[in-house]
Order: sequence, then structure tokens, then C-alpha cells
Amino acid sequence: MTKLLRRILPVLLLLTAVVHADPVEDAQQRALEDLRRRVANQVQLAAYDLLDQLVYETTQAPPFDQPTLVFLADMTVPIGLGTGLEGLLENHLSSLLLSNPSSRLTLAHCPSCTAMMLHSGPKGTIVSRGLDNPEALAKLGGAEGRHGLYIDFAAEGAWLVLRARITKLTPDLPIVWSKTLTSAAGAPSLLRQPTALKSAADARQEYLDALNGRSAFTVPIRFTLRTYEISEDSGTAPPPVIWFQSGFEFALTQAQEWIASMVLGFAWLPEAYDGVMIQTRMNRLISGTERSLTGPDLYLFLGGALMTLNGPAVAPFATDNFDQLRQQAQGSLDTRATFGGLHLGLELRVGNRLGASVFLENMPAYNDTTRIGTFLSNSLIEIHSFGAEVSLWF
Amino acid sequence: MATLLYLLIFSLPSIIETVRDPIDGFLPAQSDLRDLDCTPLTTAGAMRIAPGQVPQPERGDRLERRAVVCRERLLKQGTRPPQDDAILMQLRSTAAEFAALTTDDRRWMVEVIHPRSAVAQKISFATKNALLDLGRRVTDRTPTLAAGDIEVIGRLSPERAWPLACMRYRAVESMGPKDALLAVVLRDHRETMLHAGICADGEWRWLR
Repeated sequence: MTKLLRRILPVLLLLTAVVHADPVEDAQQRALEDLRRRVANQVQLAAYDLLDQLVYETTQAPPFDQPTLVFLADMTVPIGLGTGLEGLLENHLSSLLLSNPSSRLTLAHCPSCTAMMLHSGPKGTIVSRGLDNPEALAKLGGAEGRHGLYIDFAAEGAWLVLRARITKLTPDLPIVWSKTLTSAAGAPSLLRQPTALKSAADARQEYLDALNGRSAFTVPIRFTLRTYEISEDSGTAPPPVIWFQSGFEFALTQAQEWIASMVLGFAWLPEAYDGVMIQTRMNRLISGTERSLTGPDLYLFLGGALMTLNGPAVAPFATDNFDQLRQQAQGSLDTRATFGGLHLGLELRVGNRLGASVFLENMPAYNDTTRIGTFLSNSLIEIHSFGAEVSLWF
Repeated sequence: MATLLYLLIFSLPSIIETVRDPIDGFLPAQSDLRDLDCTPLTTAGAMRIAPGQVPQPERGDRLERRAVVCRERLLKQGTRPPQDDAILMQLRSTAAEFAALTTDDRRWMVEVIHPRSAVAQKISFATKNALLDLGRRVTDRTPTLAAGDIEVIGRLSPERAWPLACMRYRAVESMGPKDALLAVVLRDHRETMLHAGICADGEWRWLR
């Protein structure tokens, strides 16, 4: 019976505690924790921004003449927010200082500086952190004369305030450098790269340039080479045709997922051919959901072209139509071919300036004929042409 | 009666504006309004910082108008103790005010007395930086006393404790002749206003 009671009693006590827990208080506590978490998420970017600005300013006006060993003495966040944020900010600061040696602040590890020390002397026994008692620290050796970097974030109304100071660990503990920076709540983060810190003005200009560079309307200039397969029957190789194209391109969405274009083209090879063409195309971004500002983008495109070529070299394209036969009967040596094409390809774009693409083209006028060979042929489709392009956008 | 009516009609627009004013409004602030940090500005100042959002005063408009810039507070009310919140809300201006009362011929130490060490640390940091912003020489050192001194001084009221502590700092050479101490003190744990005093040459003086 006693054994049974011993087993049941803790369970009963636990149940009593659960029953007597105030659900309203619990809910309030949960709501407060949730609120703090959300605030910490919002504050994090603003705090990162302030650290970026701090390190940027030290690269512009270094606190020391020479690279100097500095250890992170303290990093504190606004009262009410958790220590997890402190860890994130410490890591960000470390990465910034490591990426920006021109700040002349070399991060160092100083466990004896931040550890609690017990020091007994003629004046009494002092319990303190090493950095608060440089005389005692000096007796340990290795840490005297070092510099401690203190960083504090405070939420003051609508402002997040970063305060930083550097103290030299000599008996007088002089503060040798300090800085105070503020950021308003709701100010958009500049999201600067740690490896390429910029001033706020430069970062804003870069942002505006990037937005301006994403104009919905652009003018492409394109060099296209279309190659054709030799026909097994005729044994004559159709000449590759080089086109110079330009026109306009229009992004249908701000993310530039869909792009439509229409270009006019001109081809000319002395003694061989000349020609004009018109081409329309629809591009679909397949490497992501939106155009990247920094990385390459891959588009899949489908388009159609109408081409007309003149000249002796285009004879393999000339179909035996009535007009051609009539001209030959009249003794004309001119050879003209007008044909359409449907193409499908992939285009790799870098920024909004340069791109390269490859495509396969079917020319319906030459389906089931022996004038132009095929790279691929089956019951569904024949691929008559393989093309490559280099494009520039303005 | 007619005069009263005229007065009422003419002052009605400004009464309505005043009622809705987030700073001086007659209506009790809603909870979301309490989470705003509002600053009054002149119309010209507001037009400068928010062009296009503040209308140009019309010609012949003789009413004195002002604008109020409101920003959402970073930490909503209730996220930290209200007393700490009240002190930290205006820490920048308080620290700058205290620093402006110092002179530049001494090396300054800062000591903060507040029941919560986290708040004390923030006040100390802000005061030191405010002193440095004014070009003062500042040290992270704080003056120390022997255990016996602390035991005696700890039993006294702040009015008597600080002058005595200041004297002892000088007597035990914890502070040199070129040193000065700026002490920031919360004299009563219920108040939200910080007080400051200066200890130099063994003499204590309350500044606020």
C-alpha cells in the first residue's frame, strides 16, 4: 500500500499543479514570448545594419594606426529580448571584422579577460571579470594592454541605438574610442554584403541602379548563327546564315518571369546571300521565380521567325514553287527563298546585359522534303536547324 | 448667444483636430496609439522630412498648424517592465543632458545606481558615450571603497551617503585630483527620473 502511495503521490501532485495553473497567465506568458520573438526577428536586421555601418565607418576611419588585437568584451541586446540574439549579433560582427581587415580591428580570443576572477591583495579580495581588474589580469600575463570592444544595443522608443566603445586594459582603463549609431524602427535594411561594405548612400544608389536596370522595356542586339543539315538526296550543304537582329523586348511581370520580344534581322554575306527576317519570341524563366540581380538566369524560349533570303548560296532553300520556276524560265539567275521557322531553346543571361542561347528549329515548309536535311526526325517533328546566339541588352 | 455660437463654429475645426491629436488629444489613447513614439514638428520641418505628405499652407490660412511624426516603438508596451521602459525611452537625451553638465579638465568616471544591473549597464554605456561625444576623457574605472566604508555608507540615506562616499573616495585615493565621478542614481525605486551628481576633489554636488 505504501509503495503504491509513493508511486501515485508524485503523479497526483503533478496533476494538482496542472489543474491549478492559471490558464490566463499561461496564455499571457505565451503571447509575450511570441511578441518578443517577433520583435527580435524585426530587430535583428536593423541590428545587423547598424553593425555593418559601424564596421564600414571603422574601415573609413580606423580607430588605430596599426592592426590591433581586440577581443569582444561584451555584447548586449535591448532589455526584453533574449540571449539568442546576442549570439547572432556576435557572429555577424565577427564575420564583418574578419572580412574587413581595413578596419584594423583584429579579433582575438581572451578567455581570462571575460572570465570571473578572484583576486586577493593588500586592499582586500576582489571578485570581478578579468577585464575589470587589469592589475590582476597582468599577473596572469598575456592579456595586459589589450583592447576590449563593448557593444550595446538599446531600444529607445522608435529607435534602435548601437553604442560601441573600446577600452584599453591598462590599470587606468581608458576608453580610447567610441561610436553611437541609431536606426529608426521600420527603416528598410540595406542588406549589405559583409565582404563589400558600402556607405548607406552608395548602397541606396546601388539599389536604385538595380531597380532602374530592371526596366520592363529593353532593346536587344543579337548575333545569330543558324546552321542546317546537309540533305542526303541533294548532297548540297545549305550555307549557315548569320543574322544581325535588333528590336524590343518587354518583361510582362516585375519579376521578369515572362518576357516577350520582337526583333528584325538582317543577313549579308558578299557574293553569297542577303536577307531580312522578323522574329517573335516568348521567354520563360526556369532558374527561379524571379530574375536574379547578381547571378545568371536561365530562360526557356519558344518563338517563330519569317525569313527571306536572296543570292546564289541559298539555292538549297529555294522551293520549286511557281514564282521560282517562272523566274528561271525568264532567265533570271536570282535565287530567293522565303520560309518560316518555329524554334525552341535555352538562354542564359548574366545581369541585364549579356546572354547566350542555343535553339533547335523546325521549318514547316521543308517538312517531308529532301531539300534540307534534318538533325532529328520522327513522326512528330523534324529539326532542320540548330542555332546559337549572343545577345546584348541596352 | 450669437457671439458664443460664432466662437464655437470658428473653433470647431481646431477642437476636432486637437481631439484626434495623438500627443495632446482629449480622447484616451488606444492601445495601438500607446505603441507609437510621436514627435511634434512645425509644418515647415515636416515638409522638409516628408515632402509631398504634408500639404502646403493655403494663402490666407491664419491658423497655426503643426505636424506630428509618429513611429512605431521597437518594443511594444508590456515587453519590459514599465519603469525600465520609461527610463530607457529617453536615455539618449538624458545621457546627453548629464554629459553637458561636465567640464573637460578632468578624467571622468561613471557610476550608475539602479536596482536592475541590465538597466544600470545601459545607462552607464550611454553616459560614457555621451561624455566621449563631447570630447571628455573617460575611463571604465569606477572608484572603490573598503568593505567597512561600504557597510557604514550603505546604512545612510542617499542625501548623506553620496557626500560621505565622495569624501572617502578622495581620502583613500581611489580618485585622484584630476579625477571626477559622474554618478547617475535612481533615488527612489518607484520613480522614472534619473538623478545625477558629481564628485570631484572630495566634494559632492547634486546636478539634478
